[in-house]
Amino acid sequence: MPMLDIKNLTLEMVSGDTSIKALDKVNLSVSSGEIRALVGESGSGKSLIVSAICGALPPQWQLTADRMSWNGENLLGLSNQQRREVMRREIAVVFQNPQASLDPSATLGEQLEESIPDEFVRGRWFWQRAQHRKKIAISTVHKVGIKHHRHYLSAYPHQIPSDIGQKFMIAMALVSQPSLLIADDPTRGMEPTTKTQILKLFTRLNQTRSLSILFVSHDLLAIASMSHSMTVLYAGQTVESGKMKHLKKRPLHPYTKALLDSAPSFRKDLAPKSLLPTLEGSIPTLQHLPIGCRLGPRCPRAQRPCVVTPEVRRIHDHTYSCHFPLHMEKL
Amino acid sequence: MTDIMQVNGLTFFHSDTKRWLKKPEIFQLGPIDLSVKRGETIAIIGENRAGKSLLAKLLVGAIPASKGEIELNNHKYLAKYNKQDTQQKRTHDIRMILQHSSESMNPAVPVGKILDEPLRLNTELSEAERKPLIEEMLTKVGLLREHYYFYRHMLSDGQQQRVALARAIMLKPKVLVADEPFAALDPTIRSQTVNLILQLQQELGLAFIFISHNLGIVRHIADRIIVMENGNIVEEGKTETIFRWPQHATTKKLVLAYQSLVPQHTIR
Repeated sequence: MPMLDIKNLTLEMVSGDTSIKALDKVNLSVSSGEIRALVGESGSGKSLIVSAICGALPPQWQLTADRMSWNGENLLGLSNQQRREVMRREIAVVFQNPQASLDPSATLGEQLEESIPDEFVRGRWFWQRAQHRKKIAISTVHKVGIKHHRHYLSAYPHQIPSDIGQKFMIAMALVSQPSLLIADDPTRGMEPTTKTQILKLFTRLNQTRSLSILFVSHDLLAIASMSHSMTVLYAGQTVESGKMKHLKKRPLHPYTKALLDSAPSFRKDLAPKSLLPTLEGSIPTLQHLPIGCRLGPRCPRAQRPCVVTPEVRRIHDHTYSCHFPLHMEKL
Repeated sequence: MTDIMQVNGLTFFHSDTKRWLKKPEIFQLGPIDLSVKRGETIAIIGENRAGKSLLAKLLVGAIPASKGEIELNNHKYLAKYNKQDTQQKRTHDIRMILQHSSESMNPAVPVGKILDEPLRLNTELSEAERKPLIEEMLTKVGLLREHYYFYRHMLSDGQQQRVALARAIMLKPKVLVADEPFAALDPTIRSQTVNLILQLQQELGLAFIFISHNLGIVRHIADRIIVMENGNIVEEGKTETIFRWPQHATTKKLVLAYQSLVPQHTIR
């Protein structure tokens, strides 16, 4: 039973008399205790999906979905108040740019203490409660690997380096003990050592507290090392989805293969300085999306039928949408 | 292989003036000794605030150094800023790709003008001679002649990176320095850029010095690796040696962090 279940999510942006489908029939589900990776390049709509789940999209964009449920509850049917309740307690989001999403006018300590839910704070009198709040804040900050809590909790967002900001966002997300953590590109621009620290923290939380994680990124190496399953997105369409193990061993969609090829670390046989296999061309912009399969113009296997949007096909729990998938002769 | 660039005792010294009860903030880079061979690829790795970007800028002369000398293509000059004709020579031989290539381009000027600038400022060519050169360079980096008239916002990320690369190799330099050229790029575009740089290196015999956090790519294209910490080079060696037998604690940490991500069977 998936916790978060999204089926055929479509997002239409209407500008003037033209409408653009920024997300086209996206399917995504996160089971409890699972780390699901959402992979896609910039402009593929990863962050739009995250905002759609939070309900943070501008009201003039039309969001339709056959199903968008959280533990059986329809997220689109909730009132604002209820939606906020869910977002506050059960789903936590780590946003992409920590410097921009933290409040610039309050210290980090104030912001973190504010986001501790009241029922976690013990103590009868206000001074006892304030003390306990502070204790929780310090222990959470230590948990994500920030050492000098005295310095950083009294600092303002512009005074801290970006990797500390990133860790702090994670601390703020974890303090309400959510059951799903949505991490939007949490390791971008990090040096390898910090990155592994963060990834280890996620893995540990997943194992000890059975926290489900939706890990949004395009760093294949990080994803492959920790996630259980993966959904690949291209220009607003889900192209392939399934267990990490299967996808890595035998990708069915040409785009998944191109993504896996782009990380030289996956291949042992690749000679140093040899050319990397890659897709021609660049990612289409929203204004010039091709019809049918959106990978069409860049795909090495494209043929005439590709101008029709491919149906979602399924082999066990591995779904893909491609007219001419790879590796089919072996199956 | 001959040395194209020799750096001796390059030092950069920065200190805030001391104020009442405030400790002066001191940052020292180097002294750094480095030699670069013709056509060689060197990667600089290290943690944040180790002085990697600063070293890159000192090498090209974007920031004047405090001490030291650089010998480039048999021309020796002080790394300290001086406005002599040796400086002019340096702009021909060493060029740089900046960290955010899209932000380092003037949005109000078309690509052709951006590429024209290094030629106009550093060579004696007339306008009629410069234009075919620019068009040739555009096709060389995989763009079209029409891109001459395009503005920055009309290009995608990958194309902007190509323009930055074209601008850097416009004067046919011997050494190319790049500050995180692959960090902001998407995976498929990144592979394209890596391929392009590898091809150009073969064609032009460029020496390529780059900074990266992506150790997978470093392992793939670098001949030599420099590890920096706190403004000093702590380890230096061949790529395979560094990855297999890291000596210094910082290197060990970086390599271990990388290895723990790589699927187990690739470690032999």
